[in-house]
Amino acid sequence: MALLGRPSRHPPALADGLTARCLPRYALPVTAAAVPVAVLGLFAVTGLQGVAGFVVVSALLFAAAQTALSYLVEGRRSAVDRLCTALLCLAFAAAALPLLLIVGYTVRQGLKVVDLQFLTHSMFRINPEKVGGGVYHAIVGTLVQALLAAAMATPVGVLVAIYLAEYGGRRRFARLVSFVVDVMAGVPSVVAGLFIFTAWILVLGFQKSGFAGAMALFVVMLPVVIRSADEMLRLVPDELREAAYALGIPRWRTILQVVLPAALGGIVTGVMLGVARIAGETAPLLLLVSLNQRIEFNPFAGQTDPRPQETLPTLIFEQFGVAAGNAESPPFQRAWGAALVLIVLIGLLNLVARFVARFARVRG
Amino acid sequence: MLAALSSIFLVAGCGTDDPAASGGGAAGAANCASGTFTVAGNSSMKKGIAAWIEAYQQRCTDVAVNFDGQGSGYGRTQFVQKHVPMASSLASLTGDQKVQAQQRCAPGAAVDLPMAIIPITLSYNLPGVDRLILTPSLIARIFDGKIKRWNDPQLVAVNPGVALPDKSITPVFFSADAGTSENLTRFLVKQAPADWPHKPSQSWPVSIGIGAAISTTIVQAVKNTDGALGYVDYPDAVDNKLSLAALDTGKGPVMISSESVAKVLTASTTSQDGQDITLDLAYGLHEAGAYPAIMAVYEITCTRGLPAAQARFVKSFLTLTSSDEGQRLLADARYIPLPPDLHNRVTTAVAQLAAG
Amino acid sequence: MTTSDVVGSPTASQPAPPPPPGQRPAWVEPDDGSSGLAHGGGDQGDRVFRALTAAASVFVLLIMAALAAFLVYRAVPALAANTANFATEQRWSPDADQPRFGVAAALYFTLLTSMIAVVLAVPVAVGVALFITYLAPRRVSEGMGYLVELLAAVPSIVYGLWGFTVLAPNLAGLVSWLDRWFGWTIVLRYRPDNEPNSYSPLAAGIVLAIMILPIISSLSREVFRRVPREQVEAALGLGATRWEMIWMTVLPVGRAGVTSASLLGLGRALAETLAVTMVLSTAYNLTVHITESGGVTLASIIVLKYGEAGEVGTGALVAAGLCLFVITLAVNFVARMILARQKVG
Repeated sequence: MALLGRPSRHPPALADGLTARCLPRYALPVTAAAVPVAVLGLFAVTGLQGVAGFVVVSALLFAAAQTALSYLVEGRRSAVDRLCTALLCLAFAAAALPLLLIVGYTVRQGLKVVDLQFLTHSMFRINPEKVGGGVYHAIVGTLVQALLAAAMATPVGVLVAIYLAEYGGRRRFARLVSFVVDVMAGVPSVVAGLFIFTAWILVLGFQKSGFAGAMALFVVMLPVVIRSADEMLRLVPDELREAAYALGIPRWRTILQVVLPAALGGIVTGVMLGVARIAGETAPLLLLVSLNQRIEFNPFAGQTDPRPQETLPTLIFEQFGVAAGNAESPPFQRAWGAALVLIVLIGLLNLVARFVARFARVRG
Repeated sequence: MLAALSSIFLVAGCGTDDPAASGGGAAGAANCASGTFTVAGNSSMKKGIAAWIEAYQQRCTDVAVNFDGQGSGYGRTQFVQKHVPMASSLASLTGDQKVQAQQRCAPGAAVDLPMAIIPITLSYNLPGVDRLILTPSLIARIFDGKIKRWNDPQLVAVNPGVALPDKSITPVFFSADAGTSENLTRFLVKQAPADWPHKPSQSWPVSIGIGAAISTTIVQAVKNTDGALGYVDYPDAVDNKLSLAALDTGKGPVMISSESVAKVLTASTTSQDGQDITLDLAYGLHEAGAYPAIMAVYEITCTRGLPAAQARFVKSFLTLTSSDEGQRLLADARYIPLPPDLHNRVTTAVAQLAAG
Repeated sequence: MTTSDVVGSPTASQPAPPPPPGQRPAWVEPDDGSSGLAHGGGDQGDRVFRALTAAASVFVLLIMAALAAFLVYRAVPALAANTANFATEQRWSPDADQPRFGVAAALYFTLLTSMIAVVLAVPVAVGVALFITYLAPRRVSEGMGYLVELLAAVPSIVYGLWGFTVLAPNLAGLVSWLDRWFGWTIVLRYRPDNEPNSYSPLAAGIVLAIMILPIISSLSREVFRRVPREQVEAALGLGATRWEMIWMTVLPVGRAGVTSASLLGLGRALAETLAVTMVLSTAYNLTVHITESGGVTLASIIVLKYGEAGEVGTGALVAAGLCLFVITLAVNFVARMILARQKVG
């Protein structure tokens, strides 16, 4: 105890002048039982109401009571430690709670509406004020635009990442590109939407279309792909490259046939996570893509042949508007159904991305 | 990536546009268009247009009609920029926009065709108060922030026998530009110029109370705010069971009904220039049994000059909306249909539109 | 900057080895541009390939340049036509005869809602990160990490829908309670003496806090994971309680990282559009009372007004968007600088 040449502070009880003791094992459960009763009494007196309030006050009171007891019995240091533990547990509960609330509510409301018909039919010839129809056309629109954006962003992004990781080194140009990529990552999606709106629709005079939406999504997704691909490429061990060079393989073939495949799993993960993120973007789509009740696979519009492509986020927003505040109305229910479908879609994309990551790690 | 692509094909295979409960594709194929068309305009028309679209699609099975209800101004701008063949608006084309629209429609002309009337309600949230009477000057003073509490003597004087509570009034208004704002401000300027010293405009000129951007939020704001008073379109207000105030322009309190609106339309002047029909609504009417806070909905399109498919659509669609059936659908959806002589003018004008 | 902050749901399941600083032996990547060991036909292919990757990089530069150019080109005429001071004017009437518009209200509420979000989210997020790293049983901690990251997978429009339908209407009780007990802090006072309408900056701030929680939490977890285990174990070995260990070893080392993470969360909150648009009822007058409904942010004003905007109106919205862009850029830049300084020092 005196190893360090300081007066021993353990057990703390000695220094605090109390007998060395820990809280008996029954202390915590008893406190946990007593607190709700006390809080009920408190509520009766002060007139507070509500389940939420009850839970919050009980939790806080339990933490306080536990700390006080610990202070009396075990001493200051232990008391502070217990308080800290209680607060951290509360923090976790505070984080998990909204998740459960939001997802739970969406699932509950959405399931009222989502069924096979909802998933496989569009809103064609359905009056949105009435029950019926589905979101198939919106699913198609979301997937087409997200995948189109990914198809544009992946090659460009991987090439840029290759430049930064393999060729760029410390050159000024590479540093400039890296800086610009960071700036691009900070562009709010609504500003990306404004950019395409200004350039493509106002100045160049094109129609709104799924393609315009995909372009804005491309601007949002590109820096994501570049950064994650860059990191994956840098993680590939140098030994692989050195071995290839030792065999006389030229640099470019090394990159294409040795380094890239090694990093592929991680790159694919990054791309899929990027797709999951842009699938939920709404703001740029509101500016750039019109609505449609019909299924539309083609995102490219002609001048007199506009191709509006409904997407899940815009459908939710539109139905929300049609509902005009009436939470029991068919449009509002439909919005929740679409919200559930969107969450599931993004969740699936995330899940697949993680499987790919795990699979790639095992291989490489 | 392969998995993603194959999933797309899987998804591509399994959906359909066929509505499960398909109404019969009845006759009328001769007048039907085919393709996908978008109408842009005021969100207050969404229920009416949804009813029209439903009827239209029961006749014509290969046409999709989308309504982009982001506002009257939005609709007019989209029309002028050639993004849509037809716009729905609470105000007719004027000024610069009219010139641009004529250019857009060359060699034809741009026309406004009234199709429906929407009354503006004063909806309030006071639990326990079933009846409320408001005069235009009181409305102006409330929205301008001069009257702040429900039990203000000026309100009590106009509402004998009603127990108005001691609560503060929260005005609710459209924060985005809205045709409803424009029409109500015109009404206030005509009826209570002393109390409403602002010019009529799409942007609500006063920032007192709660601003709501779209109909959903304005209804929600009225519903959820104790003591709120908001101007809500009649169809939305009825659907959401809001409490409506009666309007007293000096000849007794009047509630909204087709009769009280008809009186105002009789007193309004109609101008017709070729096929362009515009109404000068009698906002300043002081007549017993008349409710002058109303709006006319115009469908704006070109007489000629649209691409064939669009022209066909516009003509067949407007033929439906201006027909007796179309007007009856409006009444079912809580809009006020056109009065007889206006109706005749409009049907004649529609019949003269080019069919492609 | 690691993948995690880029992608939002980190591949933090991989134990990330310290990334090589980009340095390689000279014979692998000579700085003179030659391809080192390549010979024969490889030279040609190398030049082509290298040019291709460089071209892609130039393309990225061009995109950003185009973005800046188009936006500025659109905003400038509108700003010139403005008869009011863009920075101090509260009203937004760019299409009136005398255009008067300014971002005072939008800027104020953008900062207000984001600050509320950060104040609420940072303690909880750091607490969650500490909990998962040091408190939770090892086997469960991964799962708990995923749980919190699921919050990041929920799209913003669903947050808006939920905030509008569930959260705001249920805040009335809390608002009354805050007003009763904490109304002396002017900020929490609720002025109208009716039942509260809760489509307020507070409601928007709460929704934003939930949205930025996973970002701050996962970045903080990364930071805490990098605290050298030896220091942690040394502290525990000397008899420190868990809290003392955290206070003495983890927090000092992780301070810069956590600050940086918080700033990134702030950046995300500033740029959030849909959730705020749906939850915050619109109003342009500045107020200190965060529980009173009404407000507008730089992002929400764009979505609200773009449909009806004319020439000047569109330019004005673009100017607001540029304003937002500059702010988020500044915040991200500061975050990065804090991290960089810590690495050096």
